[in-house]
Amino acid sequence: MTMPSRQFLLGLSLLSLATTAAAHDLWVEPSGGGYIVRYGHHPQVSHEGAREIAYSPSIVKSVTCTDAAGSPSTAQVGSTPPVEIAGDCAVLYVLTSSGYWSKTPAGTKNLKKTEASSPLGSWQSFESVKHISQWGAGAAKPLGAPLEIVPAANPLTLQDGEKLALRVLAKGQPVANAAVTYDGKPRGETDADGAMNIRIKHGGLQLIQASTRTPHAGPEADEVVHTTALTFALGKHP
Amino acid sequence: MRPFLVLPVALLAGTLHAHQLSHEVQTGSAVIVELRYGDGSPFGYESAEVYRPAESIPFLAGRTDANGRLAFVPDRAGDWRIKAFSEDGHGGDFTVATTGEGGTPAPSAGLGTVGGLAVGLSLLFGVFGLWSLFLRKQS
Repeated sequence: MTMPSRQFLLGLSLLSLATTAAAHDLWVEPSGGGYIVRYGHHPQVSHEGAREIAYSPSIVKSVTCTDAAGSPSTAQVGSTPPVEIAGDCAVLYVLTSSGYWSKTPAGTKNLKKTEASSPLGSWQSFESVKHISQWGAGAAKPLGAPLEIVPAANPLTLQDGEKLALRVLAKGQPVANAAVTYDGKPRGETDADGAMNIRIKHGGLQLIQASTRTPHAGPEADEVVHTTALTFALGKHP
Repeated sequence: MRPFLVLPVALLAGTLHAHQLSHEVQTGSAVIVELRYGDGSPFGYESAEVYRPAESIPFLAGRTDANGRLAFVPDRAGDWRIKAFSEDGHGGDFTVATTGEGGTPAPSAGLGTVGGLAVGLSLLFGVFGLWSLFLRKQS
């Protein structure tokens, strides 16, 4: 093949536009006597409004429902999408996993690294959400979940501009340097004790998320990626 | 539309013997869209589609490159729709305003620092190329 002359190549003109690919969120929506597990773009995060992504009910790995004192409470978990959870939960924690993912030259595939062709990177994905509808000992203490956000004080009485002190814990242990967002916007990282403060910006539903990336133990993936959310509702502030 | 630059065109014709597929190398204006995940890493190797204004059949269907970039050469003015998506649910759906044939997006479409630098360098290189051609003719 003959290469074009240097002068011609120097005439190349290009214009660049940069944009960010939106991530997805997991949250629960109070409905009737229970909750609906939603997945997609949370309305607090997306400027284009809520958008749901279809998911298989099999991604729901566990559901924890407690009363205000922290005692286990019964919850019925539906088997059709979107998953409905019937129960009276002061604290509801839902753990989901869409399994293993591998980045390949043919795109991101829902495969283990050991199953993918020419894997460039791979991870095991977990997402979880804790919804607090009633404050008490149950909400104040850790559930011991794989990853969770625990408020230091009652978040249900906060006003605009007030700070919420929280901790990010993995199986009860503090997680340092976890990236924390509020309404999808980065707000910093946790300190050595897993602690951080978030300033409340508005009334209505609150969405605080924390993410961790840790090495995967086996050959199926390089990393474990876990994003957990804390949600609670405040009165509509003026 | 006025082209952003008066561009030289490099023609490089080649033929593949098996099925007579010829090719031609050109230089010209293109729109380059760079997609990144929220953490700043490139949205590389993922599916992408580009649509002419008000059309539903893709003008281009393919994948972003390793750096998360997608390039296309618009053949008309208007709002070009770009959809990029991955199997794990990430994606974007937005429009890029182009001012016409040749593919120069309107400056208001959002030139970033990298874009501005690229345009500046392109201008310098373009002027240098034309100057080189001029010198060659003189000699």
